[in-house]
Amino acid sequence: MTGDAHVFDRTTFDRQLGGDRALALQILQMFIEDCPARVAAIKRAVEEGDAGALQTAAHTLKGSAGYLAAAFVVEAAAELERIGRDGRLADAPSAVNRLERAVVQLMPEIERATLA
Amino acid sequence: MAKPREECIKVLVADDDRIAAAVLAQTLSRWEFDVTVVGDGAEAWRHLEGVAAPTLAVLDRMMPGLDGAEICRRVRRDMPSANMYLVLLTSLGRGEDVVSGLDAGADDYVTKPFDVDELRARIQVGVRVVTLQEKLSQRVSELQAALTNVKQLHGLLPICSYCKRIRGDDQYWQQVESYIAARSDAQFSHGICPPCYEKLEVEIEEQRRKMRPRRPQ
Repeated sequence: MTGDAHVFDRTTFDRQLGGDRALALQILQMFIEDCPARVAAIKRAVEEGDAGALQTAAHTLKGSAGYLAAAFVVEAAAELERIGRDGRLADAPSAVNRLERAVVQLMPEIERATLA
Repeated sequence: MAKPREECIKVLVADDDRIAAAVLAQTLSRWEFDVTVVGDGAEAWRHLEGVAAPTLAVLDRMMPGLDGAEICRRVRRDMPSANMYLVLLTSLGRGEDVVSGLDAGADDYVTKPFDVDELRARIQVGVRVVTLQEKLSQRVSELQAALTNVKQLHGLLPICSYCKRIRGDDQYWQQVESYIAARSDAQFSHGICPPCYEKLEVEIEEQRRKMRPRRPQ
């Protein structure tokens, strides 16, 4: 089964890494380890009403997800980064939901990619 | 066969995101660079101002401590003659970061997530620039050294009107030939010119005459 390229674009991911399989595995493992803490940092910043911390945490997740070519997570994190930068914290909860949905879709895809 | 580490160009990678740092470090190592990775701006600055500073640096625009643009500003302000090529990593759609980063002293930028081929092309530009810069500085030093010698030979030289010795910078009087030989590529072969020969011949003849035994009266 081929996953949705907007969830995880395997072809772009491999091309961005120059076809280095060992590096690809390392990056996928790092993302699996780091992603829960990144999402938790975003939720904590929203709960605490800290726009600056939200912008930073969302920026980092956006960067990591970019290397995975995980478009949905990138878009949701970019939206949260903008919300943090503009201080529009009222818009944050729905954007956090969108991010969590994207992450739930992404994780099984990259788990599968580590086994392939 | 891989190059020995000391022959590889040193690159500093500074990114607080360990995924971005790993991708950069691994990719640059594969291209035979000697890569050092740091996770924040303050540590990046310590490396750049250290004695074994890298020639190339890839700096994340947004980092805790010092951000990439601030590091570029400091390098250009505090080390104006340093031969260092600075590449900023910026996020897609942040055009204002590119402008402020280049204004701060970055030489180039790469948008994250970067494409490996684009990164390679941009890093190659950096290598070309630093290599050219290094050759130019070397040539300037050689020319400066040559110019210093020429100046010494063209300057005002105190010379003794009788023995023709020259007083050097160390205040010692030395033979004109040793003075010139030390400051140029000239070499001397010694001989006697015709006017001096004539004078010398007269002197020798006079000496001979003096030394001849006198006839008893």
